[in-house]
Amino acid sequence: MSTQEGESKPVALLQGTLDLLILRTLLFGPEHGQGIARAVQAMSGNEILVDHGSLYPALQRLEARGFVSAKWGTSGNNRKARFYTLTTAGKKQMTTERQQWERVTAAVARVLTAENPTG
Amino acid sequence: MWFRKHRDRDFAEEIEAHIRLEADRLIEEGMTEAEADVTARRTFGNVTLVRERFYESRRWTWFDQLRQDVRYGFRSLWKARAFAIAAAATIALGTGANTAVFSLADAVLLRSLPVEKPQDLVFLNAAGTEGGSGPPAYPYFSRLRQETRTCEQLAAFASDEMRIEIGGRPEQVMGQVASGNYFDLLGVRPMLGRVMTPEDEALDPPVAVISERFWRRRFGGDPAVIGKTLTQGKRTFVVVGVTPPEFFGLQPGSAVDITIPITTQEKLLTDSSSLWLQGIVARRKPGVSPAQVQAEADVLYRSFMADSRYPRDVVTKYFQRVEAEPAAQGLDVIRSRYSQPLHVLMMIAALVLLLVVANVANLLLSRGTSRSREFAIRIAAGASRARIARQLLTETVLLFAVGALPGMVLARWGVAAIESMFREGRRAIELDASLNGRVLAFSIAITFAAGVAAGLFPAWRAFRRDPDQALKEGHPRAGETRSSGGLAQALVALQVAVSLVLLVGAGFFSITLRSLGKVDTGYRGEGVLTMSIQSPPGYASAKATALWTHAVEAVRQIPGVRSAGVSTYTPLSGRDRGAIVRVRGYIPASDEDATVHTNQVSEGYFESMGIALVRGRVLTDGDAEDSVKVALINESTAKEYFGDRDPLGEILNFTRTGGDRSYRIAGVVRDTKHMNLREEPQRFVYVPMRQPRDVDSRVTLVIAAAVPGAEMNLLAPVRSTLAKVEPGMLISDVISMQSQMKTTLMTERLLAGLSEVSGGLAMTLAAIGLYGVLSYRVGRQRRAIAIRMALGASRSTVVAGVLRQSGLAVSAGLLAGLPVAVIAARYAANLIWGVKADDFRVHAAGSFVLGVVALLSACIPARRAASVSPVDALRES
Repeated sequence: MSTQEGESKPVALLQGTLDLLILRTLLFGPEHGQGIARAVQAMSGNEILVDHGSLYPALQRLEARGFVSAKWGTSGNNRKARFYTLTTAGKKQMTTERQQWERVTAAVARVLTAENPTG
Repeated sequence: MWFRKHRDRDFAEEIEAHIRLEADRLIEEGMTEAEADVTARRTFGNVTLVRERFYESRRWTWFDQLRQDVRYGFRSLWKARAFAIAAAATIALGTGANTAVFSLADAVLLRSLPVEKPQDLVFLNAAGTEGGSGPPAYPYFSRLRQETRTCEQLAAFASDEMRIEIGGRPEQVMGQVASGNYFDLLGVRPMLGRVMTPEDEALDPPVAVISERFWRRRFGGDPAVIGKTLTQGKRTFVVVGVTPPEFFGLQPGSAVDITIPITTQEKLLTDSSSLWLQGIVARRKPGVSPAQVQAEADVLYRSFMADSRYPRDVVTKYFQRVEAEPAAQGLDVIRSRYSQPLHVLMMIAALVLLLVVANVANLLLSRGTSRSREFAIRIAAGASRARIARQLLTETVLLFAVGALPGMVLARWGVAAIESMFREGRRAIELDASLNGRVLAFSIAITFAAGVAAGLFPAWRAFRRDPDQALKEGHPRAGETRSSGGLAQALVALQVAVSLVLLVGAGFFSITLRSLGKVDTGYRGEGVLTMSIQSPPGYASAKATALWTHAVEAVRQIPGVRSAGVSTYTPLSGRDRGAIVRVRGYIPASDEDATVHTNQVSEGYFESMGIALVRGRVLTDGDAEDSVKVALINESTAKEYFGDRDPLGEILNFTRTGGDRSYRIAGVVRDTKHMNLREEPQRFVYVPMRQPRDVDSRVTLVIAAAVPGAEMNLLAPVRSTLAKVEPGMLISDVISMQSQMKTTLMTERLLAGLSEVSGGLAMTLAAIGLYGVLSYRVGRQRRAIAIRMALGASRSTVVAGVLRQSGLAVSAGLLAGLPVAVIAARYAANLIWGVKADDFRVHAAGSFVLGVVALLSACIPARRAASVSPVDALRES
């Protein structure tokens, strides 16, 4: 998955993190693909800009596992769009993945700030 | 596949929608339309790539997994070969039985005629308030054919056994007369030569079309058959074509051998009151409904019948209107007769399959417990429980598929056996119950359904299982969970219930067969041989009577022949003749009451058939053309028409349009069965062959052998004797009365045989199932039993415990099966005979037998439990 070349260096995203971001976005309510892409961009302060297309494998994976459900509907501008909604299982998964993410980042942070890694 | 394409298209739409929404946003943010579109696409990235990834991901997931599951399934089954083979054997029986029975049902009940667009065909039949009278007479057909606006084509046909001569040799075939456009209407194209055309009705020259079966049997499949001649009646016919193998005519169960133009029946073409046509078939014009055809035909019919010579009340009863019936499945002769027995057979087969499913499921459950460790390891390695469940399901379906293959072979063999059973006897029923698309589809469907049903049990268990628990269970020490035991018990109960239904069915059908076999037929069939003999064409009536007389006298001289006689027909032959008679002192309430069955018989007939004389005398050769006309009646006629009066000497008047015929009653004979073994005795009047009302060109020769059982040995001497009397005599339908009886009981034999076999199989499977479950449980509970015994429990208590466990499952099964058996018996009530369908003794007997079997199968595990030595068992751990 690529990020947009901007002023700052791209942040390498671990696979699965995108899933978490999508779930987080949908916490606010149902949204269509383009809206999710924009939201991720906005929430991450334009640090993580996703090739909009590469959002979809993650979305489809989430749908296949039952964490989101999708239905065709109409957008604000009266455009036809496919809206994704967070399911109950998805909410639970989000909590699990978020906890996991925080544990991993905390662990990484500890290793990085440790004085003697082999001590 | 459609679903996949739908998803692909859906996703493509979603991508476009995304890009449009992004473009809208960019426009809001200030871009121009053109810029926005380009930028939106660029931001999205490589659309083709994304779509391809989507396509690939969806395509391979389920298919890859399925392939894996199948490969793993094969490996598992191979590792447990013994079990797999045993299971596959029972599956073969279950699926084979169902496929065979469905083949039969398909051939008899479902199949359409092998003609073009059978659903556009209708049969036209007359009917009235009392019933139907078959197709209207030929003159009506002629008129309708000219005037019809709703039908594309109409054809008339009739078939019957026909005497033909090929190369001077007479033989009997199933012949059909039909309109010239018969084959064209049906869309039947010849496989050799040509078929009949309307021009052939001119009989210039007379042509014949033969069936493929007849061609192979009689002409050895020689292509030079075209142009050969055969004689029928006074005409010589040229064979012009052969119909394709699948065409047999319009009457399923009967196969027509040759077809000749209907115009050969000159006299009947103009007879408005004759009912000789077998059918009028019409092809509707496209867009025309059967109701419209019926309306048109009906209007014409009513005006046609207005000029009829029949009395008005007869017209109303039988010739009031014309109905158009769908002809797609042909004339219904065997369908209604075999519909219910076939349904019963299908139910039996379905129950057997249910039994097999329960049995296999139970086996799989017990195997599943021993595979716990395997599952636990797989779960620990990351497999989801759903995946394991799915794999188990696939494995079971695979097992069923493997078992179903030999099942198909069994089915074909079974079908062939039943087809030859149907072919026995005088009125052979030709069935083509071979495999076709529908049967194959059915077979695959039930195999799959059965596999899924059986596989659900272990799959469900695997799905619900907790990995930790599974690991523990793999250890021989652990106790058994309650739920798994309950499921196994429930399956045993199901098997017991199904077995009860099948056993009860077997009981009823066996009793039916045995009772019918013992029925007093009124005649003595042992050692009696019958055959049809037919005079050559051109015999005048007096000559024919003389011929029978000579034939019978000659046959009586053959050593080994006790007595001989002739008659128009014999009991259970399926043939019938009737007439309306009047006697002094009896006022019939309706025509029905004044109708009797008639049979023309010679002297020696009653002696040969072993029909006892009750009063008066039998016929002698003194009862000839010049003496007083006498007749014999049977007991029913005597009782009905004369009550307590002595019928001897009374006059019997046959009423016919134009003159009475009077016969004096000279004797009373015993009632005999006529059409089947179950009916009430019918009224019969026997008229001497030498004082006939009609002269038959074809009669039945009845020969009683001096030694019962040796009657078939008389066949050769009889043939040569008859050939000396008249070389052109045609001999056919040779059958002993005992074989005839067997043929009459064919349905009962089929039902009894199949239900007995499945009852036995059911009992065996249920016993094995119970034994398996119990011995497994006892094996698991060895420690518990040992502890209990060490604490002082006696052996008998332990045995009682085991028996109690089995008793629960068996009682539950019996309780569940009983109401089903009762309902099933009521459904099949009119097939059962000799015992009432609600006779509870049969149900009780079935339950008792099953109970005993269950007890016996519980014996060994119980003994094993009792023989557990506490010290050894405890030491093992």
